[in-house]
Amino acid sequence: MSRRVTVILILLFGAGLLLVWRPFSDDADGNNAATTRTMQPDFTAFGLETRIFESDGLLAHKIKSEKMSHYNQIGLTELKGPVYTVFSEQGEELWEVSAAQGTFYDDQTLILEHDVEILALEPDTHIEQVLTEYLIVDLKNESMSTEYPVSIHGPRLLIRGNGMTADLKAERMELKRHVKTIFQPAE
Amino acid sequence: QGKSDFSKPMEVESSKEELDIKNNRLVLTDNVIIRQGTLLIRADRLEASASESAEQADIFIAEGSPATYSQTLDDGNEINAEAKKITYFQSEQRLELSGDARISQGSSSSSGSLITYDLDKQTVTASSSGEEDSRVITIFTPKPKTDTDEKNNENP
Repeated sequence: MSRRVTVILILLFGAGLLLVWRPFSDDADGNNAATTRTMQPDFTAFGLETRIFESDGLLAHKIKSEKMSHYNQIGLTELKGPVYTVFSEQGEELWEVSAAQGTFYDDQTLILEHDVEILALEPDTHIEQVLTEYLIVDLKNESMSTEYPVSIHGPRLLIRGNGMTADLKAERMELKRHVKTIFQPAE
Repeated sequence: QGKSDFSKPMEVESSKEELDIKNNRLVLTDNVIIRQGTLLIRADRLEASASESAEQADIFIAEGSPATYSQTLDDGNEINAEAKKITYFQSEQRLELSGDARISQGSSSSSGSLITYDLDKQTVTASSSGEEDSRVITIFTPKPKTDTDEKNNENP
């Protein structure tokens, strides 16, 4: 194969790698692949909080993060320690969704990875906490989904499943492949 | 009877589960199996909800064609029941069977459109198509009193 074709192939392969480059890798200490990445963020912010309001002025949701790095060229923002809060129609805090890391895309999709926790903020709720390792949040219609194992915890309740969809504003969840629900007896 | 079952966790397996958190209701569907000690209920659909003061779900409505129930009593006998709808009031230890309801233990059995089985008192109330002619039947012959039981009764 002539030298010119080989060079072109290498260039093409390099460009392809850049396009499908994954923002994070599972390094042992949880750092993303910043050191091996050639691209530099357009801007980085620390302790930033983004608030998104409904048309009627009520707070819809807010996203906090220890560190945000935005990459204009590929339209994504890397988040370290993101915390996403969901509000009810009346503007009360309903749920807090947190994770070790996240990626926020221009199409309003937020991907949360590692130690993902959905925490109920209302008192005396029957579902207190949901745990998983990966969660896709569609900020436009405030729905969430995962194909990963999920555990749902309540005062005397434990539910396990594989894969879940959730509408936190409507406070509805559905397990795609339910495994087991355990009701503990009252003391 | 079957008291030891009620101190055990209740485990429910099924293919799907939906959570209506606002109304504190869980709906489990497809091949639902409920186990609590020796108590076993099989159904197509189970709805778990909490009664007024309950902190957690304590009313379980199992529906099937039919839904079936079985439990081994403390004296080793097994009781079986089936109905289109079996409602298990856990905190009251009461079972309500409605729709082609049938309950049996050994050679004794009872059927009707509505059967109420008090798991604590071991009594069965059967009524047909909702008229007021409900008959209370104690179908489970209490264990004959042995000498030791009598002694216990004299000086508890």
